[in-house]
Amino acid sequence: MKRKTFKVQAVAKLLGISVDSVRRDSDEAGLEIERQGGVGPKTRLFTIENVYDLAAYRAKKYGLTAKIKRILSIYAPKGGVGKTTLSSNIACILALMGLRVLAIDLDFQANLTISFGYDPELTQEEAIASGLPVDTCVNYHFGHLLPQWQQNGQTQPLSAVIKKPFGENGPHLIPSEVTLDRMEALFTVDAIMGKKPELAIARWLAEGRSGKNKDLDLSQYDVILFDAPPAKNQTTRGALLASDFVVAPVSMEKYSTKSVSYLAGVLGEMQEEYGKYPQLAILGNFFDDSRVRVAAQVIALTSKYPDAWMNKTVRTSEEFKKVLDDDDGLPLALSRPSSTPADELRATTRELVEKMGVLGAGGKTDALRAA
Amino acid sequence: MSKGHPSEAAFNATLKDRLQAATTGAPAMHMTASPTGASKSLEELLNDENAGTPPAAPALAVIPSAPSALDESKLVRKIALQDIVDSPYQPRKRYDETRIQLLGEALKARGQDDPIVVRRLASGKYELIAGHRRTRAARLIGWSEIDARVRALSDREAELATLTSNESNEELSTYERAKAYQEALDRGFATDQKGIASLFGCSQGRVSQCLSLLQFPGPILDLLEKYPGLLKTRHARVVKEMLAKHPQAVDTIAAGVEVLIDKPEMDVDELRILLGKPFEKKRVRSKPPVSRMIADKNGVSIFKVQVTEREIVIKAEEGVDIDLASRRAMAALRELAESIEVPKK
Repeated sequence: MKRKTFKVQAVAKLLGISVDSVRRDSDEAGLEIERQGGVGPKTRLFTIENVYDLAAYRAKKYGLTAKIKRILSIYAPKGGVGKTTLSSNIACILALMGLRVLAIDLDFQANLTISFGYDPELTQEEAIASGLPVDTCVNYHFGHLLPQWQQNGQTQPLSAVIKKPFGENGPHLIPSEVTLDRMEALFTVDAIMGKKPELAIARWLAEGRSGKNKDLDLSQYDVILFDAPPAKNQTTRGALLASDFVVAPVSMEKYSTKSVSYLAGVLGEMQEEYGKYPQLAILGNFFDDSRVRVAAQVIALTSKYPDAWMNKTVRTSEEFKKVLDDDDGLPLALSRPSSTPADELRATTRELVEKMGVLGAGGKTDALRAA
Repeated sequence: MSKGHPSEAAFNATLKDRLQAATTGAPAMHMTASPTGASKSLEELLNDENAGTPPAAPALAVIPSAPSALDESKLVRKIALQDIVDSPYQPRKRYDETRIQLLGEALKARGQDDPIVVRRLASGKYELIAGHRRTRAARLIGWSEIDARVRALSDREAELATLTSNESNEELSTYERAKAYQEALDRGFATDQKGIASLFGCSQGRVSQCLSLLQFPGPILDLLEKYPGLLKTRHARVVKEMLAKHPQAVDTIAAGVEVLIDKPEMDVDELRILLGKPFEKKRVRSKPPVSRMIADKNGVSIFKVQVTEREIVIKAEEGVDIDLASRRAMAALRELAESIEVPKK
């Protein structure tokens, strides 16, 4: 798989900086960047890894650090509202801002994993036979990192599970594959034994973030993002309980008010039972603001959840479908940086970063400059 | 599969072993009720969880569980709905049908999260401890069985467990709570309000607030028996005020309270005015006598009529034939007098 490369202008767009800054900072950083061959100007051709290295260099140069580390779930009980699309794009944009991001695929259908260019069904033999890099395969998933998995096979160190689709400085990924759904069954057994499986993910994160376990060191990540499946089960509940924020995408094509109110109910139960629950952020996704009934839905949602409604929305666009056909393992925000949906995704992510206070109040201007 | 994962069948086989191990192994852990408030951090959450069970679930702690040879309480099993009977100790009086319907839809849509709790009766039936509403909802949507945890409880233990299991339920009315608290007092589960508060995991103030409802006189208690949700705490306060002012007029006040059946959200001031109305003194007319003009056919005023409580004064303008006018007026009055009757003194 040959991934697309980026010219200086595209990189400037991705990072939200000027063309001159791209040239200057990439020279300063000493990045090895390919030049266009043939006759004519020898334009720089950035790989996506180059772009993320540059983002990381700039974050360091301008002293951009996360003031607070956050755990985020992208979740709505309803399917097809764009959870995975948002997850992959938000993860990529956060990393472009210079933040350290870990995305965790909790859906055994592994769409997030696929969106980063992996093939969860591919075996090593098949990969070798068809000349694909072995790294395209997915051998382990989130379940392999949890103690619950032990009786079903070896627990794995993070380094064996984690994928770095765009290099060290890009978003990292804990991928998924089809046997991840067994984790839910193991959680259910825990539930029957009174072991509170909904705390399993919280425990795992706390251990990882403490940095004490060298096989599970999550201390470097500024944002850990769960892409939760459209189900209500122990896994999604565990991810929600562990999260500081939950972004609920609502597609306004169908009445999604109910789906949000249902989620609000789940959060209420959580507050009642544990005194901990993620703050809700409702994001209008695949949004079409020209329709009257959409406006009615927005009013319903904003009047019920005034603090949760996000000002920025992502409108419906053909670009999303085109990206799926590209098949080069790049989410839209990366593959089409100049498109309208990419602009909207960046704006949405900025709002989210602000809402989550990741960069604190003082870091806001830096973030805006960096992204 | 070449990735070294065990097959689906092998995996399922291990589940069975785990379940078996679960029923004979570790002691059951009760879900811990936590107070509401702002969200904790991840670390706070885990610290609190690791610190052990905080004293938030006293209801179960005070029951000395009989150590039975086969403790079924950890195992969730399916029980036929037709075998489940209501608890005689259940303080809840009414089940809101709409809410049961909603609950039923929720059950249908996402399945049952928590098993209900029952105990086995000598008759082979199962008596509800917790889950009266879920059981009704499940019947409503046509389920034949429901997930349940069977606990071995004596009558006394079952009574306490039923009384307390509802406490956390928001939808129990103040009166129903009061009944539950009183029942617990009467049955000696606690000796005072403080004991009740720790038993039910609520504040002593709440207990005393609820119990004060039971001090109401008979007619109002009868109403509450029929409509347990009738008096919110704030309403109860107004009723108490009125009763203190007019201790003889219990029935009048009870009749006034009935208006809450149709207007449950009535605000306090409105209720106070409404209940006070029957006791207001007939107001003495303080308005100045109304002066009325009577005009001739050209629209010029020729009579001024002043009416006070027991007087009619007619003043005529100059040029009016007083004699004629008075005769006509008298005739009109006579005509009126013939049609009415004034009670003799």
